[in-house]
Amino acid sequence: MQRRSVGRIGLVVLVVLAALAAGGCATTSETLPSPPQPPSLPSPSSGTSSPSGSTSSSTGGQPSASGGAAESSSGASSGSTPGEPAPQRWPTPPSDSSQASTGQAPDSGSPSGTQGGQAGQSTGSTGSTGSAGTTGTAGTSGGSAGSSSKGSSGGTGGAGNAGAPSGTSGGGSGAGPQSSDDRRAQIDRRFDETFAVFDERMRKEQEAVSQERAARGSGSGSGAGSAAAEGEEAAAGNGDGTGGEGEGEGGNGTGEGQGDGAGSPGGRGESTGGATGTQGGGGGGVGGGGPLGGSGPNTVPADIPDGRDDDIVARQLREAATKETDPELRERLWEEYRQYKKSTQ
Amino acid sequence: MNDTLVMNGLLRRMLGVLLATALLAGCVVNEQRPMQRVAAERATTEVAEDELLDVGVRLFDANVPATTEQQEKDRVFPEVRKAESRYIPLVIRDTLENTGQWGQVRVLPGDGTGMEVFVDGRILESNGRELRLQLVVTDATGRAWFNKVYEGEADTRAYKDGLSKPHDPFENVYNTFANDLLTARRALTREQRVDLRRVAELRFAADLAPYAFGSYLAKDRKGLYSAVRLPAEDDPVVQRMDRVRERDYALVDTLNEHYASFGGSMAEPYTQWRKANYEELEAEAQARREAITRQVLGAVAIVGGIMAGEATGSSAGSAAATAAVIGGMYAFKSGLDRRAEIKIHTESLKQLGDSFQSEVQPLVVDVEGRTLELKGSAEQQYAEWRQLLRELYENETGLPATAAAAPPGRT
Repeated sequence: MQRRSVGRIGLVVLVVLAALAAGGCATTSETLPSPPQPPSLPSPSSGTSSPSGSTSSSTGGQPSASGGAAESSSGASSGSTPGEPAPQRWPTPPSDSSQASTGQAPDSGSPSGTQGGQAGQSTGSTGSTGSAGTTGTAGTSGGSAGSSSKGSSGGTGGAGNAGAPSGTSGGGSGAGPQSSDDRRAQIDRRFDETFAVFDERMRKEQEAVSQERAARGSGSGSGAGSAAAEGEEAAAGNGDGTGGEGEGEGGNGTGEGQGDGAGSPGGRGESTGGATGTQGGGGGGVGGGGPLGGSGPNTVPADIPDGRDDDIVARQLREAATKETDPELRERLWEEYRQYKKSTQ
Repeated sequence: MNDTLVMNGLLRRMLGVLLATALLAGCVVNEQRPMQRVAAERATTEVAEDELLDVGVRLFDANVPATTEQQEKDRVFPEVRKAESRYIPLVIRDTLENTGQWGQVRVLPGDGTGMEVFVDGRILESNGRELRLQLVVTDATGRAWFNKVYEGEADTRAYKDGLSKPHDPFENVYNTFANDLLTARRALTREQRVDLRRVAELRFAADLAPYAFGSYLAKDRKGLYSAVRLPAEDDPVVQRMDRVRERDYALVDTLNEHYASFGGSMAEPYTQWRKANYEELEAEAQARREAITRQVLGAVAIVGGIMAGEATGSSAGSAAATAAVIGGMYAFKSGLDRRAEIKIHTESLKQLGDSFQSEVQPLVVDVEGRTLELKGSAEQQYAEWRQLLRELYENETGLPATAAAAPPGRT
């Protein structure tokens, strides 16, 4: 009898204790603060990465502040689910040179949201959904801005990670304060980029005008254009340490990036990085290793005239052909040259 | 007897006058002798490096009268003038280039800079028969070389069809200018030429990065620039500046491609217009001369006939006087007819101008548009280079890049 009453008492005590415990837990959960939401937070509803997130490509690993910032926000969102107690994990947007955000961002994003879930788990929260896949767009902005001189951030690279693997190469750089030499190199790269764009524009303009004139059959002569060509040749031959200019198209088909190959002694090369995925970011760098000025194969086919009467277009075609290392491309350039010469005669 | 003698004298005079009238009316056509050609002095040996100054020929002032009335009075067709203000600099460029006495010779937009010598011009008259240009030559230091008016008549051989090597009808004008320019350059000392090149370079640099290069230049009271010191050759900003300058040349070259294309399109119709204009102007001038001569002589014959008729008493004298009056009236009337012919030529000139104007206008619009577009996009690029140079300067010197870095009074 006594045993039975002791058992009942024990049962009651257990029930009371359980009720108390349950009540305490409920109170605790009610008092938890809700996590602050970043102002430009993408919707965490989607668990898949936006296709645009894969466009990240970097210019020699030079990321930009904007990339870092964008990516940081996205990366953070990926790790959180509603009600997740991880407010302290929101990275603060970089104020100027966002090196600090660099390290955080890549870790927190993922293309598919899986890593987002992992990130959430690491803080002991539920975060298992991986909703962070929305960071794809961040990858885009990070990658595309890679050529900024501010160069602030591996955040770009991080963005690449978050959005798509193509940003990987960018993510590697951007740590530590810039030295004067680094800064100079960065400015030079921007010079090279803008020069390349400008030269290309001028070349196209001159080509278009020459073709118009050739089509019209006008006999009016013009010495114009020679200086430009001479200028380029001079630039190619002067051994400018940072003269290597390259353009590469990176990314997995949805974006492009420009990269500079530093240290190529003169010469301007252009290449197209056809790589996808993680190699996309490196496309620019590959472009930088363009052919050296004057060091290309000098094999001029026997039927090609000496070029003394070449106009600007013919001269550029000839120059491109003599510098081309790929035999197939070289032959195509020579064929272009032949056809152009025929059309002008 | 005395009357008979007087009458004979009068009759002789009248016959002489009538004969002269007929001769003048019929024989005004004068065959022009071949024009003496002026050759531009070409370089026969290699020109010293420091003498190879770069010349920029800026687009000319079209000098179009402000009012339509004045344009009609001066026979100026605005679009034709605009086209000429682009075409003539091209001819000058080609002329100077062909001498081999100069470095790069380029046509520049109206506000173009960056060269060592500049040619500015104003078209005072251009109608296919006569060309009158005011040409001003200055250099990058601000020194005025000369300011002259060049004029010349058309060499009609240029208007003949079937010439194997067509040349400009006003080649003499251009060649004379080229020789004058050469003479002016030769008047400079070697030091002046070397300094000129330095100043040109520094002015370009100071335009892009005044905080870095402004202090290298001084400007005196007369507005002449001189280089007070030179930047170090290994200065990173200088090295980048050189690369920017190469692009500036490339831009000018591209603009010149457009101008040359325009010149190529314009050359043939322009020559045709000038030729037709020349013929009409000649015909008009001839008609004008004939009209005046016939009217004057007709009036003289009428007056003389009336006077002779009053003085004579004989029937023969009276008949001669009547004949003189009738002849005079006929001559005067033919003079009036010639005046009507002048109007026809004037109208014809107007039609020619209007026709060529409508033909050349799209070409002008096209080249103007392309030039503006190219310059516009280049301006953006230049703004970026300015910014990069600024950043580079700040990086290299640790100083803020402000224009105030240049000492006052210097540019």
